[in-house]
Amino acid sequence: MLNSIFSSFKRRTDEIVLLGIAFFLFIVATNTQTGWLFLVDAILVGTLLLGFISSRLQIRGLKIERTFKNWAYEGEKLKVEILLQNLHRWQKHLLAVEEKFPASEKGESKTFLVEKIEGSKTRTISYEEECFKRGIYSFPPLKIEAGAPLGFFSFGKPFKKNGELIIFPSGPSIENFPVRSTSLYTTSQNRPYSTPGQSHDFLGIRDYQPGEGTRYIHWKATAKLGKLMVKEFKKLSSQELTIFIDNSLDIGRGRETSLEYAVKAAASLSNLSVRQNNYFKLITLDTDKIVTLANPGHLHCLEWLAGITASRTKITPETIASLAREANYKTRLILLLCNPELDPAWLQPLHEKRVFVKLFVFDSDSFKEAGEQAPAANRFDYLEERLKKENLAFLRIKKGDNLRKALVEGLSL
Amino acid sequence: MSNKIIEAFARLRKKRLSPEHSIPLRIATLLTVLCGITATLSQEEWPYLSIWVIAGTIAGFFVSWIRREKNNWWIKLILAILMCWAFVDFMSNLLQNIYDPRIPLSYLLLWLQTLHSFDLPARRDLNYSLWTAFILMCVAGSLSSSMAYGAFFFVFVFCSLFALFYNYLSSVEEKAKVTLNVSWRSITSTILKTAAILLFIGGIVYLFIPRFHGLKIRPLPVSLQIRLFNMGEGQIKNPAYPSSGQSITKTLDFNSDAYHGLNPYLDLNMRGTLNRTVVIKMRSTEPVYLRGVVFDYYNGAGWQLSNFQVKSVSSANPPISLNLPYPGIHEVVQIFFVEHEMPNIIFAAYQPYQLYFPTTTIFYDQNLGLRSPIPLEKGTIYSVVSLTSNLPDEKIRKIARKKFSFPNIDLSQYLQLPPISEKVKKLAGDITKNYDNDYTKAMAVCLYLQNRYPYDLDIPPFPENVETTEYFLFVQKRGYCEHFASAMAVMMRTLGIPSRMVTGFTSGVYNPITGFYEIRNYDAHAWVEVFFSGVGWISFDPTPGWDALPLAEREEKSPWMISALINYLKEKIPPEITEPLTRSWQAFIKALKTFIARFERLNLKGKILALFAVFLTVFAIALFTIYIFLRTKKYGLRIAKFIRKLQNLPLKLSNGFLKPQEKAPSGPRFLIWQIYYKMLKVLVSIGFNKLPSQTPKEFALESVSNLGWEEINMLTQQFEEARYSRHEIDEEKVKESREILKTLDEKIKLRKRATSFEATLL
Repeated sequence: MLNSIFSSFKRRTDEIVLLGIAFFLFIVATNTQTGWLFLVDAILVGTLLLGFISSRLQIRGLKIERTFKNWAYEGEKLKVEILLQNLHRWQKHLLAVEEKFPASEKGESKTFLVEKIEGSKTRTISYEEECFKRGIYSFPPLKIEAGAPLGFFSFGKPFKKNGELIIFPSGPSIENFPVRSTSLYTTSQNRPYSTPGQSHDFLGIRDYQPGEGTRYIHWKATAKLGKLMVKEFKKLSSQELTIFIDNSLDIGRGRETSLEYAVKAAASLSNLSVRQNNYFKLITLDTDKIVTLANPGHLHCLEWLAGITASRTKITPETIASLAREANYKTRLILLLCNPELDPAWLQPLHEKRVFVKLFVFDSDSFKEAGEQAPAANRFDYLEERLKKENLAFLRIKKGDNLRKALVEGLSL
Repeated sequence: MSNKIIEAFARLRKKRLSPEHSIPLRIATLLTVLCGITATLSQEEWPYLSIWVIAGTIAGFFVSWIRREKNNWWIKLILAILMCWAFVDFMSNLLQNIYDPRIPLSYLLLWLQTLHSFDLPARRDLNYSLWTAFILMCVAGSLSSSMAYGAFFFVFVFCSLFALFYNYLSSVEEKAKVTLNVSWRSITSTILKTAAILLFIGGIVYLFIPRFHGLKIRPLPVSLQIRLFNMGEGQIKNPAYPSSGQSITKTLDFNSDAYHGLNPYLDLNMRGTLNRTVVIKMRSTEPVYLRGVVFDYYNGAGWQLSNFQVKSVSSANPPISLNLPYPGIHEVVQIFFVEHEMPNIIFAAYQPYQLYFPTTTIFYDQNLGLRSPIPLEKGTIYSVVSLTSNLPDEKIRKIARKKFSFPNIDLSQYLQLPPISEKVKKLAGDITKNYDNDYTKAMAVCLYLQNRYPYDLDIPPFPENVETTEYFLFVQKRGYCEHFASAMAVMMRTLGIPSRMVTGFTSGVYNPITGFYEIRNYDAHAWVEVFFSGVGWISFDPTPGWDALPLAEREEKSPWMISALINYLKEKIPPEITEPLTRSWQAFIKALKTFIARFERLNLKGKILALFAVFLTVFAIALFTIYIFLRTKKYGLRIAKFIRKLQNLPLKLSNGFLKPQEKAPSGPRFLIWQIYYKMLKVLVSIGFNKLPSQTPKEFALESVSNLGWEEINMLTQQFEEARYSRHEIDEEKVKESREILKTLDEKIKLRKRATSFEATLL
């Protein structure tokens, strides 16, 4: 409370000093009975009043719209347009539009200056910004500040414009996926893709979902119902894959963190699975439980991956047991580990279920910045030793490693 | 240690603000500063300083612009040394006259501004320059006593608006890291609009700024002290009447440039009109009369001083204090700015007790008439603090009833009279026969003179060897202030009440803009002082149109500037216009006061407030209940809707004002409409008017049958198509319609010419 008062006083130093001077002038004018000083005082007070009113009027009657594509890939440049509409008949002058692109690298806000907007006219501001890191962002309120024409009592007003921006992770593209499992499963409701050509058993029709090809559109049903419908077929099992993203530890800065690497790896693997029409599940940790996404579509999958954040929950034997419950008999499980605190013995339930486990260990300690204190003994070396002892297939990935190469290598183990 | 010094320097270097590159901002700031400087310089005669300061400031701004990106440590060093020198100079000037620091202060400010102009690399420095310019304007305002300052001030306002605008523009440009190319025309238009609004808002604020009694904080201003080796004898010396000596009783030649009453002898037979030259400008806590010469000896034709002896009083430093013979209760502070050469009379309200005067010694006579050892030159400033005994009428009445006197006071000289006719004595007796005390008697005589005798400056001279009072009261029966005052003083003396005649000035006209009472030559005045035991000398003014008790305590004048301005304007506007307005305003105020007084009489202050609060609460609850009731009932819905409409009314109104109004329809369809309406207009000029009852087709049929012009038909068809069809109308059709209208226009012109030619033939 006191801080906010102090900061607002600090921001308005000029105005407070001028008000003080106006009061002082009044005292001097009264004491000396100097008529002109009353006039000077009145004009000074008038200037402050004008500044106060004018800055508020500059903001009044402004309508703001922000337009942008609400999703993009990490590293992609996104164009944002801000439309300022002046609903009044008077001109608006010198508006400072403060915009913060939430997915930018430094998170700094940019200021755009609008010289004037004529009455009942619009002005557009556009900018392009690189989407630095995957995630689900929401734009902070757009702040417009005006103090024209005198700069006193400049007034800023936040315009709340809800805008969610999803930045998908951009994992490296993998061409081939050698799989061994042969389990049978039925089509999941989450699965948007049918498998044309592989089975001819008609399952039914359902609503068309964005991103699907037009080949399987059921035209008769579409014409009858007035909306796009697609044919869905029963599918004979091909492969099944479970990907577990360990988000219990996230070390590093910006895009170079262990969790980011893990998410990118997951994105690559899930992308490949979608392309190959493999049934797959994505699992990650939430507070005290695991979260599963079964057989999503491409965009759904990316959106889910974009939303993964570091969790405080650590991997425990119970987590592995849950994973074992999720993974089907004789299927494949890819563990994308960021936390070295895993005991290979915990994997026993998976072995019992004959789940084929592949381990990608992201060496979190290698993601530490130069200045950060490294642990006395590398915990990942210890984990590596233990995994080797257990004869488990794994690949250790460090900061700066070529992820594509590492994934291909890891999958072929 | 050395590392620490280097670090400190590095920090300082980091703190350096980015240089200001905006040339318009620098020019606008320079103009504002120059305006402040010239306003200050114009208040005093500083020819050399003016050249140095103005040239130096311009050069300084130029150097600052050239070297804005450099460190300029050596310039800063030189400036620091020069500023120290300016400060030392200021202190030495201040010590010479500690009572009026305005001149040394403005001198210092001017130098500081000039020196500072050489080091203005950043915007913040330019801001400081604006501050200094503002302070200079304030100093100039405090020094100014004329309306010319207004011109400087308004130019200053315009220039500073430009400077503030560019300042803000530069700051936002820096924030956004862009440079806008704002057109000069756009800025000028914005500033002009801003200036107009600012003057409006500032004007309203000015009108409602309260004006309280000031001059509370001392010391008061006084001119530089003059050291005199010969103080003189303290006798009255009037430069406008050089032949007037110590006890001259002969008639002087009237000089319209100076009041003849400010001489040792006041000739009641002198005639003439004084000019309008401003002689004194005064700042005062109250509009009080300025006492000049007090006469106590009447010779039948004029008044003079009975005793020319004066006493002196000295003080090495102001103020010079005087012992008051009678108790005073109300303090009046006056600052005098002498605007015209005056006699060596120190004008002041009665009774002066502290003088801030430019000499170490002053003189005073037995009637407390003050004299200066030197004549009052133009430009002399002095201040006087007086303690008046201006009690309200009722209080004087009460005190005057009690008969107690001041010890050791010989009042016999104030009862002196030459042989006076019995008629005068009888008149005085008749006027006062119903009154039992001196005060009421004096008031009765004063009011009698005010009400029975008209004021007239154009009276013929009195005949030789007549007693002027008798002639004035019974023969001439009209006169001017000296005659009224003389008559009252004489009548008081016939009644045995001590009285004396006073000459001086009224408080003149108060100029609320400058804050000065402007006292002109024709504000010279004469009045009477009457002695009452227990009270002392009380001023009475028997001249018609003036307040009978000029120094009596009155109700506080309105503190608002607006009322002072109205009073000032009243002096300028003819009374035929102002009087009805004043009367109605006074009636309104009276009614209001009566209304308030009735409440006050009930003595229910606290209870009224409580009752009012209860009433408001009950009213609010009742209103809320009615509102709820109306909303729930069927018949109330309409009222509720109406209330809602009322609630939305301000919004609607504001939208109506603020939102853009719908534009007139445009496009080819509407252009064809316009062309058709033009055709109708030109056809009217030759007598074919389309009636409202006619359809376009009917009108076309009628006019074509008369005129035989097919163009009318064609345009009508095009109009009907544009008006009623649903398909698109293209630009080609508009062009076609225009061509048709052109042909039709030419035909109409030809027809008009032919008609006028026929008319000339006929």
